[in-house]
Amino acid sequence: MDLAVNITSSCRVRVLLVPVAPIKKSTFWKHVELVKQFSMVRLGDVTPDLQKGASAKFSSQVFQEGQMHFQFVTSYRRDHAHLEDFQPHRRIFGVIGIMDCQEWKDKDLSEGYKHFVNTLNKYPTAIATRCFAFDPTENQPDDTKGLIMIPNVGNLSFYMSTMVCDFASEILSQFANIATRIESLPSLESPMQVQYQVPQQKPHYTQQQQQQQFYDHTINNGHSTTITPQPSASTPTGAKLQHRTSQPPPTPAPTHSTSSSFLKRASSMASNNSTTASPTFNKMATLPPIPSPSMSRTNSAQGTSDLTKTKRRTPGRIKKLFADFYLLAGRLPDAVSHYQQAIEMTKTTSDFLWLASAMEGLACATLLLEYLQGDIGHIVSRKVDPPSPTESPMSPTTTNKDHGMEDISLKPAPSTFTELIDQYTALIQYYNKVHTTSSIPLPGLVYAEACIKVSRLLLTVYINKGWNDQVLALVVQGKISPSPNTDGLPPSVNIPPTTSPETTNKTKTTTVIPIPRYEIAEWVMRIWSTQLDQLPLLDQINFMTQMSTILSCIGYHRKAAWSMHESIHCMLPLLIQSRATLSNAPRDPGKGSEKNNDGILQVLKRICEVYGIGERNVLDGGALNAMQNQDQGTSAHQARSLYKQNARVGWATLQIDILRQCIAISEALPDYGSMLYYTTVLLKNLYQYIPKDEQIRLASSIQRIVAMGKRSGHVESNVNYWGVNIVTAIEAVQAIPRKAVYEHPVINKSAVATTKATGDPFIYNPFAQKKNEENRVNLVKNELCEFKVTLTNPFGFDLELQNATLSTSGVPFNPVPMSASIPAYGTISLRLTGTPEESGTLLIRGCIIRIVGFAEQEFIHDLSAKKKMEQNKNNKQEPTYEDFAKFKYTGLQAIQNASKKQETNEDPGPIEYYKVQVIDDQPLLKITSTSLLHGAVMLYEGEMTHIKMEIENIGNIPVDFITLSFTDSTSSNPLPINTELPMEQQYEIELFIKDMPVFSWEGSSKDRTQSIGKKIYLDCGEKTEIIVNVYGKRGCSGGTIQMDYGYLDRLIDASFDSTVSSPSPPESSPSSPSSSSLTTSFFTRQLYLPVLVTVYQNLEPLNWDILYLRHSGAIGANNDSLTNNDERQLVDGQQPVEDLILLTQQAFDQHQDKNEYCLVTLDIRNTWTVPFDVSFKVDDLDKTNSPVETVLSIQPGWTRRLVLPVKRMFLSAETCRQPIPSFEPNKQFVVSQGPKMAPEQERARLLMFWYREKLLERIQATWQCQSTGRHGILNLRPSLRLSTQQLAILKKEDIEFLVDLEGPNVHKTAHRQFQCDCNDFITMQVSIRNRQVRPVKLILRVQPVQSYNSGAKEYDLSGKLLMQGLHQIVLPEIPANGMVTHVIPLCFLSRGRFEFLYHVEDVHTREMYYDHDWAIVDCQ
Amino acid sequence: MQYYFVVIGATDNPLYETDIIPSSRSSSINDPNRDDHKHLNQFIVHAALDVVEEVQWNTQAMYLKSIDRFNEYFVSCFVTAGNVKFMLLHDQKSEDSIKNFFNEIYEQYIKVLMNPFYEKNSTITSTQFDSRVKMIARRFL
Repeated sequence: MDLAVNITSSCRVRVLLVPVAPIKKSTFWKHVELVKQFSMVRLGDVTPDLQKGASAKFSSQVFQEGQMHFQFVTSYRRDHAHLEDFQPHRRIFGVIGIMDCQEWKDKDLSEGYKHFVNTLNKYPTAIATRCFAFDPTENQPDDTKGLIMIPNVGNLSFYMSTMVCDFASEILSQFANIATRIESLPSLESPMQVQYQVPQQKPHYTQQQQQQQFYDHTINNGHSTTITPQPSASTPTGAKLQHRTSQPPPTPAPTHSTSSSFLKRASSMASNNSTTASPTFNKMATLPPIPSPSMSRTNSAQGTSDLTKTKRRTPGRIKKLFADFYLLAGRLPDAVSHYQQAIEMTKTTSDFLWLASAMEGLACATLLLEYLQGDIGHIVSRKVDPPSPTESPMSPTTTNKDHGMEDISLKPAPSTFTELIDQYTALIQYYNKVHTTSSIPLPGLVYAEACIKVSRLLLTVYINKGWNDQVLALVVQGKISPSPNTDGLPPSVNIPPTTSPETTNKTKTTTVIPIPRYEIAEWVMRIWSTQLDQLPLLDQINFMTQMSTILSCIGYHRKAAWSMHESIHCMLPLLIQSRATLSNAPRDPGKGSEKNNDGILQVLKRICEVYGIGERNVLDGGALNAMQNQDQGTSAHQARSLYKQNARVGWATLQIDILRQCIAISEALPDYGSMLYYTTVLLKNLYQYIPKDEQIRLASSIQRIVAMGKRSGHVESNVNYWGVNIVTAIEAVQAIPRKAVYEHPVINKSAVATTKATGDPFIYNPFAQKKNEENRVNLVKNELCEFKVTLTNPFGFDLELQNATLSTSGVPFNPVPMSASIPAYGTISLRLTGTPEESGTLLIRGCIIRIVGFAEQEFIHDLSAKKKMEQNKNNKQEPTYEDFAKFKYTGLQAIQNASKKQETNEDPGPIEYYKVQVIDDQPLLKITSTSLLHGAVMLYEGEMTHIKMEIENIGNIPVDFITLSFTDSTSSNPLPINTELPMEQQYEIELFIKDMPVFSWEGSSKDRTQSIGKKIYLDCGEKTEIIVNVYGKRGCSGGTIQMDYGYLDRLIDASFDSTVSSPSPPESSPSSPSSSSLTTSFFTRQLYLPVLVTVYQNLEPLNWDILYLRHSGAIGANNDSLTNNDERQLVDGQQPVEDLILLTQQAFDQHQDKNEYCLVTLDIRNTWTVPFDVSFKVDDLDKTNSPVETVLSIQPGWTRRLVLPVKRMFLSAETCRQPIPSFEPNKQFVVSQGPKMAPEQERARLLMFWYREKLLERIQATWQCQSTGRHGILNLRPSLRLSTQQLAILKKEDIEFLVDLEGPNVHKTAHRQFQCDCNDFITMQVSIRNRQVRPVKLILRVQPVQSYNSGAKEYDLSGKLLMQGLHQIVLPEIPANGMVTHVIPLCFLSRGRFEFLYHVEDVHTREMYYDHDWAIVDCQ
Repeated sequence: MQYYFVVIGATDNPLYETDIIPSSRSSSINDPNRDDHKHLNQFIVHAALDVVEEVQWNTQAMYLKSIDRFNEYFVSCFVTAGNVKFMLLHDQKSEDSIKNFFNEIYEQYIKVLMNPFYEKNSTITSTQFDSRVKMIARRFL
């Protein structure tokens, strides 16, 4: 069967070439090619009919310029048999057997000839037969009648052409017979086809037999050969032949036409006339599947009117058939005239089918005529001329030259081309009108072929860019372009989609006719409008492929792909059937079918490419490689492309359709490799568009395919099927706190210097670059570590993971496999573990996961993509070039280019893996026991006790360093410090938080910011004890003891070694990477001991007061005894408070004018249930005096008052002017929001603060519990609040007055109390001491007053006292810390008690200084 | 009378698809072989892109009129400045109303484009666009 239907195909005489077995395939094809060379025969060369000569109806001699075209075919199907009456060119007119004499060396050639004759039964329409025996040997006798020996010596082509001419002559003479039979027909009916049935139920061979039987009855009567019909079975040969030669799979049985061939009928009638009736004829009539022709006609319910109509139309139809035969015979002028007549006749009877067909024939005839005109020039019809003998035998090669000189003016004009098109446009309309006038429907095949013919013609013109002689020749030859590659076959595979075929030849006479491609496409697409699915499958496939050929030639790849898709859709049942027959047949699948499969797969590939699912555009997860058996090892680049971003290309729903078809096709073949490929492509690329159940089905079918493929050896077992990366994140998990390793920088001077140098004025700089060091995880060599791996399943079915392990590089790593299951559309995080076996850098490449039912695969986790994304996010202000989506190409070009771009873009940025540092082994400690009961401790406030901890080294290496650090509830959750509070209170709060650590140990230093470790050496398995002190701090509820330990010796050793071993001098060694990296940091581990603390308040100090020690009248014992008492009572510890006061009143007063002591009193309450002894110690910081100590015991619930003599103090101005300190060294200075205080007030506050601090420093209190033996500190600080009055008492004045009386009888009774005699001249010395830092100039005013016992005062002392000088004296300037004494001579004139009041006033500041007691003089 | 409207992006990918069934024909929703029909529509439109690619360079107009036909169906096309194609499959010729329809759709499409969150050549998921398209279809088709 000819695949390419051409506009000129109706002028071709079909001749079937059949091999006569046995013959080698290659030999057969070689001879076929040879015969095909003689497909055109000039009528002039045809052997004249000897019997009738020129008077024969189809005599070759009438129109000698004409040409007969043979179409040598090697296969033949009967499914167009119903059309053979209508279009004679469809039938087989001749059969030529091809025999290879080499195969018959020892046997008789006549045997073979007999075989050939037997096979002829199958071709009832053949009117001429030949059997060529090629390559005969010398000794083979050429005696078989009817067998033509073709020698391989001599002029083979001449011999062959003679033979063909002879053959043509026979055909022509047979044409005459047929014509006469046609003429005698009473009525001629339009072709009608039975409903097509797909013969799926029937096995192939039975059909063949039926056919055989069906054709057996037909007697091929030949003139030259008389063949007796022999029903001997030549079936095997025929079947084999058909199977071998047919291009499409031969399985579908041809349809049975109800329209009986008039030729057959004629021939059978003829045979009936000439010979005896064949018995097989009856057999045919009785065969059930073939309705008898007459029955079908009468039963077709067309009525009598239709019959008469048919009769009316018959003459026109006969004319048309005559024309057809003239066309076949090459007698073009006759054909044209007959066609014209036929057209007229059919038009009048509105027999549109035949009309249109006649027009088609006419078009063909005119075209050929033009070709001949172009070829040989002007044509004169020589119908009546007798044949001139000189012209008859002539070789075709010389023909052209003979007539080359003739009229050239009648060159084919371009108008003929347009005429042709117009004609076809018209006839298509007629075809469309067929159903209006006839009840017999239009045969779809005819219509479709007409469309194909036009579009092929257009295509030919389009490709050759115009209409000229050459194009005409091409059209006649049935070729599209002069290049030999593209004729006949669908060029879909060969021609790349973007390049349209180009022609290089240029001729002068080319008339450029621009043909829009869509016009061609329109003609092609008209084929759709016929009911294609009514046609036999093979025809459908044929048309589809032709359509796709034409469409892809004009660059309409989508349409071409669609029609290819449809054609494959049609092929599918055939494929399935063929497989069924193959599996039924005992033979193994032959090599021939393999070759066919390849073709289909190529077509599939091409369809996929057009729909945007070509190999470069999809993720296949290596299934393609598996298909092509490529080495997996070489695909380093491929590993990347597995995960390339899948740019969405194409139309998803269509892609799904296409892929489903591809799967079905490859399943039908069956080709496991491509089946696997398409299934994976469908699943991986389009899973978003596929419902869940189908995803599950696909996934399970992948497993099935692999299993089957492995069995048949098509598919390798080690294939990765999962192009989708299911690993989304990998992160190292920090070990549990007890095992976690902490990195500490080794502080060296240079590092500190650099940090200082870059120093920031801000303690907290929000703009400073912060290092993201927190989540850095270090793994420890030889210890199990965990990674958190996040896996996502984008599919609609659960993924069962088997054997998921980490894939690493760098340091050797021993992963622990794990299994899990990811739910559909779900995400899970797995904790994958493993043990690093060396120290160094560990690269986490990803995960090696085996999904149940599939091969193990490595899923690579690439950080670089994420980083890039983050970078893009960060610098948004400058959008980069890649940010914009640009589409330079659209449509198919985009699909082509998308993949290229991806490949080029792939290179930048190597894969960045997740890096983890693996450090050397670390020791491991354990607290084996503590002195605590249930980890809790109860304390009284201020109590000091200690905790013992026993630790053991349970690790593999020794510990050489331990340091402890502590947290407690008061410092870890500190009271909020309100900056609005006065500084003093802030100081108190800070002091409470910071300066009273609950825990401490021997390694603690004063400075809390630095904790100094302790060097110990604890070998594996050894134990040691650590003691921690605990202080009962108010409000503390618990705390933690944290122990950092490590093995640092290695660090030191290593650095030492490196410096020694390196040849460079040690000065330069720090720059070398080894040493610097070693010394930058060290690692420790931590142990924690949480401690619950309960603190009870036992003693409460309250009611502080500070009092003057004033002069009193009673003066007890002398001074010496008192001091002795003091010492004695201290030892006693039971010193009564009154004694103490006395002691202080009297102490040292003889030396000094002023009392140095003041009294501090406070109450202490015992709020607890046991008695406590409280001992106070007042340290006046005097070298001369030992500190005053007192002890008192307080019973439960009692309150006792304590009076303490404290030396008054004076703090220098510098001390008092210091600001209130803060415990926060890095405290940011914030300008106070509160109201500004006056400087004097500020000074007073500072004064208060510092004196209070001093006082607290001097008084220290401890307590002891006799019954339990507990002891601790009594914290006085919170209860002490000083008022300004108290401060004035505590503080020594800036300007101090010292008053003394001197005279013969002056007697000092007490502090500032004097006795003197009346009328005695005495002097009063008033000394002013300046404790200020600056000198002062003062005015001293002294006012004597007489006081009576009644309390009345007498200010006028003019008669009672003589006083020298003024009462107001300007004193000389007193330097800082200096003293000035002013002496006032006095003489009391009367007795009584006189009081001297005095004050000084600063000359500059007008500030007055008073003394709080005054001098009293009793005059006797 | 039934319409199938689709917006096609640069890589032959549909950005937006809808079947427009006039209210008078709403009974055809229950058409049993509607599903087959839908795929056929897509194939027809996809195949018509070949013609669009040829025709769009021969004219300056954005509206290419009816460029392809398949049996009784016509395919009309409108190519935007960004080479996005609006394709309408219809079975009755009415150029003017289809032209108006396309122009209105173009306006809506530009509004989608102006959305800063819309990425070029990606599926249009805006429900507003969908409802607007249907409204325009009701008005013009």
